[in-house]
Formats: sequence, C-alpha cells, structure tokens
Amino acid sequence: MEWDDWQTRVWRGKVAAIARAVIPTGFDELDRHLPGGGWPIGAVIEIFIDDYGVGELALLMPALTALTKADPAKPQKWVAWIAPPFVPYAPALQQHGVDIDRLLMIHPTAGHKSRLWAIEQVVRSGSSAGVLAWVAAADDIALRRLQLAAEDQACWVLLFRPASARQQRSPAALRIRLSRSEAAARVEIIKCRGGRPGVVDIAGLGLGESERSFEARARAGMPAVEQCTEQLPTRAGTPAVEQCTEQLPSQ
Amino acid sequence: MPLVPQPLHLNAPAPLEAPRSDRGPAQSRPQLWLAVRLPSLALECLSAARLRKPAVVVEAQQGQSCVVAANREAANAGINPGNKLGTATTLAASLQVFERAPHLERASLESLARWAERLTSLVSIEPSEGLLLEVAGSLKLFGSLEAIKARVRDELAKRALDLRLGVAPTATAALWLARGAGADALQAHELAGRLGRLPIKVTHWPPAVQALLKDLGLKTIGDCARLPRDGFARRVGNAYLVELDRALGRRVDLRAEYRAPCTWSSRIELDEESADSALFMEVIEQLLDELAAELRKRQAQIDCLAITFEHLHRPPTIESFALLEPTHERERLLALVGDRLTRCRLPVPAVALQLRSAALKPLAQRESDLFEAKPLEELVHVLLERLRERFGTEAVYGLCAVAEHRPERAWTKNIGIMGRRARDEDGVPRSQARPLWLLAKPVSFAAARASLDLSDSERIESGWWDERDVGRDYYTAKNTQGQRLWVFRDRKTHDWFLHGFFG
Repeated sequence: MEWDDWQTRVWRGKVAAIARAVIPTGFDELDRHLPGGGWPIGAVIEIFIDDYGVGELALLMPALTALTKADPAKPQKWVAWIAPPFVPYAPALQQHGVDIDRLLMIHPTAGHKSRLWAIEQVVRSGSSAGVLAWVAAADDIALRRLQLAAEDQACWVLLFRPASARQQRSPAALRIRLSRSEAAARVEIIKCRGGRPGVVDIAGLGLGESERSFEARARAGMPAVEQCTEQLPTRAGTPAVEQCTEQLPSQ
Repeated sequence: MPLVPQPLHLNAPAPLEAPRSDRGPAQSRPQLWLAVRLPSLALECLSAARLRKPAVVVEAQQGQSCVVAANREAANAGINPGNKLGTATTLAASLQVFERAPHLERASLESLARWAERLTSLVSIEPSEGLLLEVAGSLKLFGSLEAIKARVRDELAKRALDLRLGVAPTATAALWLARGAGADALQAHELAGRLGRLPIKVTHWPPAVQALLKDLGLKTIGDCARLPRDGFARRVGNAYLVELDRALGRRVDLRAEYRAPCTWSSRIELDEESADSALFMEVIEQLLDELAAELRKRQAQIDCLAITFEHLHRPPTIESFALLEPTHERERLLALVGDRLTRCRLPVPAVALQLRSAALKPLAQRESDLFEAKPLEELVHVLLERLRERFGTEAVYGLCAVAEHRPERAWTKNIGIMGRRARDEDGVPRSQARPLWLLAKPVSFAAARASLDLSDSERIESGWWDERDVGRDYYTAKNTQGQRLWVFRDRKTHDWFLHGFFG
C-alpha cells in the first residue's frame, strides 16, 4: 500500500471535531472537559437546574464578561435575557465585570410559544452575541429551529430548563445539569457533541474564585472568544472508543 | 452706541437714497400682505386656561416671571402683559398661572398655516405671534380683500382665537399695522402715511433702542423715517434702518414660506366584504409596494404609518405602527405590519383598506459597504421594534446601575435602550457581595423553618428622607438545597426576609 493511502486511513475525526468556535468558560476543570476548551458558540446549550440560585449565573459570568467586553475591532453585540425568573441585579453583574450596557431584558407575554418566538427573533436578528433564556417547555422541533438559527448567526444560546426536561430528546450541542453540594457545584455533562459525558466539580463556584480564575486567564493574554484549534491532550494509547473514567450519572 | 444721545441733524435735507442694488420695487408684481396676529395665542393654546377665571401665562424675563398674556377676567382685574407675576397675584387672588408653552404655540400656528394654504400659496409663520399671508394673487379668486378677511375671521372664531388683522404691501408693514391696529394700506403710496402714525413700540425693537428713540423725542415711525439715513444708521444701528426700509418697501422683504409636511396615503377597496387576513396581507403588500415606490421617488422615509380598515356599518378600525427610526424599506414595514396582523383579529369584515403615512422625512444616506451586512445598530432597531410590537414597550429594557444604598433602588430599567447614559458608580462602595438574582419584592419567611447557616452581617440603613427608609441587617445564608441566599432581618419588626439568590 502507498504511503498516501495509509495516511487517508488514519482516523483523525477527533482533530476535525475540535476545530470549532468556543468561548472559555473561565473554569479550567470545565474547559478541559469541553471539546475546544469552552462553551460552544453557534449551538444551543441546555442547562438543567432543580432550583434557582444554585450557581447557574455564576457559571456563566466569565463568559458573559468576555462577550460584553468592548472590542474596538468589532461592532459590539448584545446579550439578551429572555424571561429571567428574578431581577438580574445590575450592581452584582458589574461586580463580576459584565458591561450592563450591553444587556437586553425581554419579558415575553405568558406562554412558552411567545418565549420561543422571542428567542428565535433575537438569535436570527444577528444583533446578539448571546441569549440566556428560561424555558420550561420546548418541543424537539422548536429546539431544532433554535439550533439552526444559532448555527446560522454564531450565537451563544443558553436555555435554562427544569431538571425534569432532561429526559426529552434534544438536538442541543451541550446538555448539562447543574447542582450544588456542600462545597462545590457539580456540572453533570449529559450530552456533549464531540466530547464525552462526565461529571465536573467546580469548587467554590460563585464565591469569588471564578473571577480570579478568569482574571488569570485574561492576564495570560488569552483572547476572550477564540477559534480553538489546538489539540486536546490525548492519553497515550487511547482506544478508539474511550472508556469514560468519570462516573456517569445514574438517571 | 453713545449713552448720551447727541443731537441729530433733524432738519437735514432729503434723506439719503437707499442702496440701489436691492431697492424694493424690483419685484415683478405688487404684493399685498395680510397679517393675522393672535395677541392671546400664548393663553389660547393652553386648553386648561380657557376657564372663566382670571388666568395668565408667564415667562421668565431677566430672571423674573413676567406676564405675557392675560385673559379677559385677569385684564378686568387690572393685570396687563408686562406685569411682574408678584404684581399680578396681588391684583387677583384666585389667579391661575401657566408657564408659556412655545411648542403648543408653534403647533397651533402650524395647524392654522395648513388651513391658510387654501387662501393663498404663500403662508409665512411669524413665531409665537401669527401668520403672514400674501393675498395679492388671491383677490380675484375670492372677489375682494374683505371676503378673505371674513373667511379668516370665521375660521379663527371657530378655533376660539382672538385676532388682529393688518394689510399692507409689505409683510413687515402689515405686521406693524396689525400690532398697532392701523388702517389698511392697500397701495404702496399709502404706506408711508399709514405707518407714519404708528407708535415706535409696534416695531418690537429692543427696549434699549426704543428708550434711545424716546430720549431723542421720537414717538412715531414717521418721526424715524424723517431722520437722515446716515445719522439714524450711526446712532441707532444699521439693522433698524434696514427694517424700516423693508417696512416702507424700499428693500425686498423676504419671508420664509411655510410648507406643510407631505404625507402619503392610498386606499384599496376590496371586491367584497372580507375578514380573511391572507387577503388583507395581499392588499397591504400592494399598498406597501406603492408606498415604497413613492418613497424611492421622493428620496424620503417614514417613521410612522397607520392602516385603516373600513367596515360597512361601523366606525373604521385603525391600526397604527411606530418605528424606532425612519425607514424606507418595504421588507421592514411589511414584517412589522405582518406580525401584528397575524395576531389580531378584526371584529367585523372590512370593505376597504387605507394606508397612511406620517410626514415623509428626507432620506438620510448611510454609507454602507457593498458586501457588508447591515450595520448592527439597524439590526438592533429592527429587533426591538418587533419585540415591542408584540410584547409592549415596557417588556423590553436595558439595565442601569444607580448609586444608592437601598438594594432595590440600586438598579433601574433603561427603557430607551440605545441611549447611552452617564452612570456614577463611585457613589456606593461595592465591596460587599451582592447577589446576581434579586427578588423584586422581599419575601417574608420564618427563620426557624429554613435551617440557615448565616454569614456575618451587613447593615443597610438609608432613605429616611423619602419615607421609604430601610433598616436591615443582611446575611448570606446557605440552605439545605445548596442555594446561597441573601436574607435580611428588619431592624424594627425583627422579621426575616429573602431578598435574592447568589445565582
């Protein structure tokens, strides 16, 4: 067999899969686990929570800070919050370094249809870099439409959903469940396109460590939103189908 | 200008000739101006002031509130325009005082000017005073000047506006005659005589100038006109000489013409009565095509439009649409209208549709790259329009931080999203932890039920001055579900409240 022939037969799927746009989460433990090293951009991300206030906003703060940061090279896009359950508190957002001038609050009329309509309008408008939306009910078709719109506009779309909705089939690129134990926040990765499921514990989420971690990242000169093309560290002698070392959540 | 007036050459020979270049009667046809003066406009444009009680309109002049208009009841009490507000209130105890509203005066005059366009093609607005109509060309059409005056009087009586009329071959002279209640001057040769009898105060020249002329012993405009020109220009000022020339027809007296903003409307009758929204959309698309073509032709754009659905036996339904910024794009208008029509149902079938635009505005050219997408600003505007169209203006807003100790007042909604604002973040130290989620209203709870693990407290006491004072001890708490709460204990009632989550 010729040399070229051999080369084409080497499985390189993983390298191709991680050449994608991401935004670092600001938490090294989580970045290491996500393909590309951050939240996927141009995809729907579902976050399942049992209760509000378990660190779901703190988890996003570093990315939100990066998204709202002024970049003279690009026109500054908006981050829309659709149907937040409480008041996103401006002084606290400022403490986290978020530019609140770039945030847009939208309260659709009651009913999940108008919420989904609003999300799609915001994503499709091309004026928003990110969307944070609280939706309880969303069918497969609606999610698929959002996924397509997000891909189209390279928008960072986060859907906060009740934990009961995770049994539903979904085209989302990333589905995680967030819960909190005594000291740490537990991020359960249920589905991850181009990655593998697993559990990541983030110590001290929302206690101030997140900011420090993000500052360190910023000091190291890493761009806020980047095209991560570097290869993920691979284990020596990785089998084709990896055995997950982490415990899968029992459902 | 010298403070002590020196004697003028009062018995100098004939006045100097005005400069030849712009001498008056270069105009092709003689003009005749009808000045419509509304002496109580400041009062009449305020609907609240039309009561049978003494009322005055005041304006700040040199740091003092002065009466600019008084109604009949106030005048009977002895209040005259020019009085100080203090004087006026002592003369009439139950006096109603209104601030002058120049925008209402302007709107009132513009409305009148639009009506006056049916009398003549040249209407000019004299700010906060009245209208100037050039009526020489309309005399034949209406028969006589008296007929035109009668129409003006009728219309103003309908609008309940008081008026004074003045007629002269020049606009300035007509205005002065209206101010001084002088007799009409129909021919140019009558002008000098009629104007000559008017007191100087009709010119509305600055008080200092009027005082100077009075000190010189001049009482009427005729006195001024008899002075030597060079001396008058040197002592009083060239601008006033020019104005005198304009009034007397020695110089061209140009006036800005008022043009009513143009609007556009078109109407399509349906073949039969229908309530089919698909049919409506078709008709509206057709109307918008027409509108877009018109806008392109005129290089104009609009920011407001209305669609009227005409029904058979009931008043029409009017749907109006407002845009955040003017546009000329058919697609954008169509999306806006389509959104609403797919959601709202007509009470009864319609027989005709009419599309009306508000005033057309000149198209602002925006530079755009041939290959570049639309500017972000425009995308945001389109998005906000659609969202607000569906959910209401209040449902879409930005956030704004406020320098304030009371947590619920440390933020506000920013409804005008695109407008940047100045914030002062230095006012309140932000070293203390604040939760990402705030409850709009603190929720009371029993401290015993939730097994709370409290942190050290932060005391917030503020707001005694506006009767919403708070005295609270805030704690960061953890409950068994792992939520981190922001709770406080009221210092007066000792009740516990939940005020936020650390998210």
